[in-house]
Amino acid sequence: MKHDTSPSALPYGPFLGGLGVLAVLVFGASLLIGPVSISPLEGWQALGGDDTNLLTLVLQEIRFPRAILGAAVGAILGLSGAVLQGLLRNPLADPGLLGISASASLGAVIALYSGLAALHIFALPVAALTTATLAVSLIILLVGRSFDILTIILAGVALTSLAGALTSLALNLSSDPFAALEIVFWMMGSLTDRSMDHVFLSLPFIMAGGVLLFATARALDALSLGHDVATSLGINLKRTRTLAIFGTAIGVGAATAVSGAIGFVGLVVPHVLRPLVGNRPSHLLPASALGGAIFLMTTDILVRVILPGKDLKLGVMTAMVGAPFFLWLLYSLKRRAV
Amino acid sequence: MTLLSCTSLTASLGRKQVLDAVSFAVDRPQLIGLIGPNGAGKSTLLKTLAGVLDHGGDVQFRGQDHRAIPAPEKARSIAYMPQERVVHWDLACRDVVLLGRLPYRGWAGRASTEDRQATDDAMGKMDVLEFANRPFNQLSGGEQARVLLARLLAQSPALVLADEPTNGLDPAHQIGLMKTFRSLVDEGKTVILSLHDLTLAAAWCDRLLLLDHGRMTADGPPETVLQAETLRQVYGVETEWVTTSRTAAVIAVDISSSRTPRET
Repeated sequence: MKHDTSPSALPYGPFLGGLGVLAVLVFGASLLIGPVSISPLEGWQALGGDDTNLLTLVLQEIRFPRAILGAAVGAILGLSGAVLQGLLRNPLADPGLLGISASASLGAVIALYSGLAALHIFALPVAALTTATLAVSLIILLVGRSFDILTIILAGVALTSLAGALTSLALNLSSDPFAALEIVFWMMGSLTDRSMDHVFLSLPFIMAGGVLLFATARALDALSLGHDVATSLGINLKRTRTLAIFGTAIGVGAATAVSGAIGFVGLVVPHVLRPLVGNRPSHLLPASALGGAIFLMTTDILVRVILPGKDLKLGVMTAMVGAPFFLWLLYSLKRRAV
Repeated sequence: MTLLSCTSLTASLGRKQVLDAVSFAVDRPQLIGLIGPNGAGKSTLLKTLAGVLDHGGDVQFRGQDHRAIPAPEKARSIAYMPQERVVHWDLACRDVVLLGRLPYRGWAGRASTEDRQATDDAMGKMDVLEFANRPFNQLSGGEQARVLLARLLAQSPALVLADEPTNGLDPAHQIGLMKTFRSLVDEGKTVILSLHDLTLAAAWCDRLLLLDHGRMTADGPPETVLQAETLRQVYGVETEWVTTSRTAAVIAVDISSSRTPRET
């Protein structure tokens, strides 16, 4: 007699394959859908072409980097959420928890406020990466001293408040209303007008962060049985924690540096996918990476379709789609339990 | 070869020293009961032996320095079950048991047929195969204890450490569990478990280690360790041995009126 691993779980291999196919389809749709509508055939020709007509330009310079960033940023947010939830054994953990997103935002805001951002295209992302790195160093310092994960979270909360306060200070002191508006818009998160330069800047960091995060898979499984049993199963928890924090810092820091703060992906995506992979933390990692990519690319398409002329911000959209969906999910789970 | 020997073992939780110069050796498969009042250091000793807590003094496992054994290798020989029966995510029971095979799998390695076989064997032995696909968190306490024990067996260790495994179980499950431990000893494994139930300890264990305030107060077969005078001093209770047609057991009958003052 052959059973699934748990009543609601789907067979893992095919499920992951299905998510992969869906991700590819959404990626394709993300290239074709927008103010300039492109047919699949035209798109295929334009993507490989080297002529300078409008279609080729739109596809290669605008849509392609945007789709790549949507996939990469969504994937790292979903993955990091799944890892942090597994590490903390808490379904409410989120990449924003460690203060990385807020710190990266602060760097970007400083670049915008000081006018550095206007000087060079890389000034803003580099500033964001720098502050994210500073935040991580601070966290690593704390990690070195304490074994307690709660300390790290509290440090993250403190860091988030501090970065938030400094960001508000920049807005407060900004004499230029245009700069203030730019800061506010940037903080909403967006993938509009990103170029291949942004891709080249962030993708290596996002991928490196992803590798570190995936390396925690086995340990996260063991942690289902608690801290002590995981240790007795030969898992080095200190190493696991360092991988998770570094991975999130590098990956999410780089993602925030190019996209701005995008909430809800890291929280909702692992939560939705968890029962479908039999609740196994290691199986949740690749699923959440694919799910995050699909979710973010889809919302980025919605942003373009719903209000084409208004530059609707992606971070606004993820929360507007994610939050009601999350509430519905909680409601239906509750009903099932009763 | 001596499986395990501790010489002047010390351990601390934070700044508080919990174990003080504990020494004992195990040179043949035994069912060893670790007894002592709350806070005596039973859990700490088990955690130390499991490699979860750092320790001072000398601990040798199969003639090797316990601290020098690489963690994955240690995990293939020593299995540990904590007091609280917790599984954090809603895992199916088979996935819980399969975690016992983690020390045998490579980095990101998938479970081999051998791993699946060992998992099924362990579940069969604990009679939990019928729960294989049920969520762990929906089982009763006794069923959960059996599933977690199957996880421990799947690890195929030489030394089994269990912290109050009979806690919260009804008499039938308690006896069933002790029988399982007994059969593990018959297979050549050594089992060390902490117990609060002196009757159970007397009835099932080959040897008892009595801890009090982090020190080893007595070490020997149940009938020598469970002396009325010793128990009065350590636990502050009056005990009597009761002999029935099938077994001899020690029962606590009252709290001692004049508790012998102890050094602290």
